[in-house]
Amino acid sequence: MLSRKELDRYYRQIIFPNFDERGQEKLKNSHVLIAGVGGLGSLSSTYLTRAGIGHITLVDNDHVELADLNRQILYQDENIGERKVDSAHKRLLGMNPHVEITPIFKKIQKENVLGIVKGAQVVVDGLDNFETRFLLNSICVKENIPFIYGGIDGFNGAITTIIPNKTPCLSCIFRNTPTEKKDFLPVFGFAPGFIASLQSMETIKLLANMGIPLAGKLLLFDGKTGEFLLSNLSKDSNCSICGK
Amino acid sequence: MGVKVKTNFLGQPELEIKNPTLRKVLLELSKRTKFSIFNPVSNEIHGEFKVYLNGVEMEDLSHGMDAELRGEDKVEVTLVVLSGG
Repeated sequence: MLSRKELDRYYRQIIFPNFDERGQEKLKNSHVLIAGVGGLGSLSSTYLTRAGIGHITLVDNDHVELADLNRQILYQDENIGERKVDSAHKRLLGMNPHVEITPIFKKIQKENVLGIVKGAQVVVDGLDNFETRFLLNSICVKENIPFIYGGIDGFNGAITTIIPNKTPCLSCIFRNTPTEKKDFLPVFGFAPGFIASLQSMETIKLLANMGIPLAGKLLLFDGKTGEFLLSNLSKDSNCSICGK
Repeated sequence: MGVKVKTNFLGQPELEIKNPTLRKVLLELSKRTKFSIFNPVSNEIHGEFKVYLNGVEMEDLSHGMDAELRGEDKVEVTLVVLSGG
């Protein structure tokens, strides 16, 4: 049940038709895992915390660096050197004390990934590498947890919502993709900001059963030309992760 | 001539193109998706795509985008997973 303070805090959400207090309660009773609190995760965790997701787990094994501050909006100069999950935890609780934040300072690996995703209703991608993305995709398919992929490169961004057993998984889409990339890609804050906003929207749509998710569709954005590509994705029947 | 293209964003369309080249294939795909796959001025493929002809990446082809296509050629245009953070 929502307290008086929560009703006031979320008033502008509660007045959404077909969302109301019941939708807000659904968010309050939800658990979302945000994998990576860098450019994408900084913003998705901010929006999801402010929206009143009851429990958010943050996983990251990095420390805040000066070169993160152009885009990772959770952090400030005084946080340099701190563990990202600890700084993020403090900052997010300051935004909304009604939310439970669980910080996990760990690298996601084969050995711990199951324990990390257990209990989450949605996993939001904020990762900076492909290996961990494919690992998370695989465990989400196995555990039947929706996974919201988001990626950026320069002015470009992409997002899709993966719903196990219904939509193509990440391996279906990018099965033959070369995954070697430079360690540091050029980035302004607006690219991860844009994609993370869409990821937050997708998360809330799934949890509150609002609208139509970007399931089975990939949205690609080219910021330099202002072009969008919305493509229908196909399941790969030979996919090693979700193929039958 | 019909050119079959394997993609991970538009299925496997068969494009009817006269005297086909990779450039014409990419232009036709851009037209169909309303999304530019390459910059027509600099001829640079946008970073989120990889183009292969018979398994060889376009930038390694001697004629690059102007490679002429024959009936048995295999063209693949792949959208690449983007990074993050």
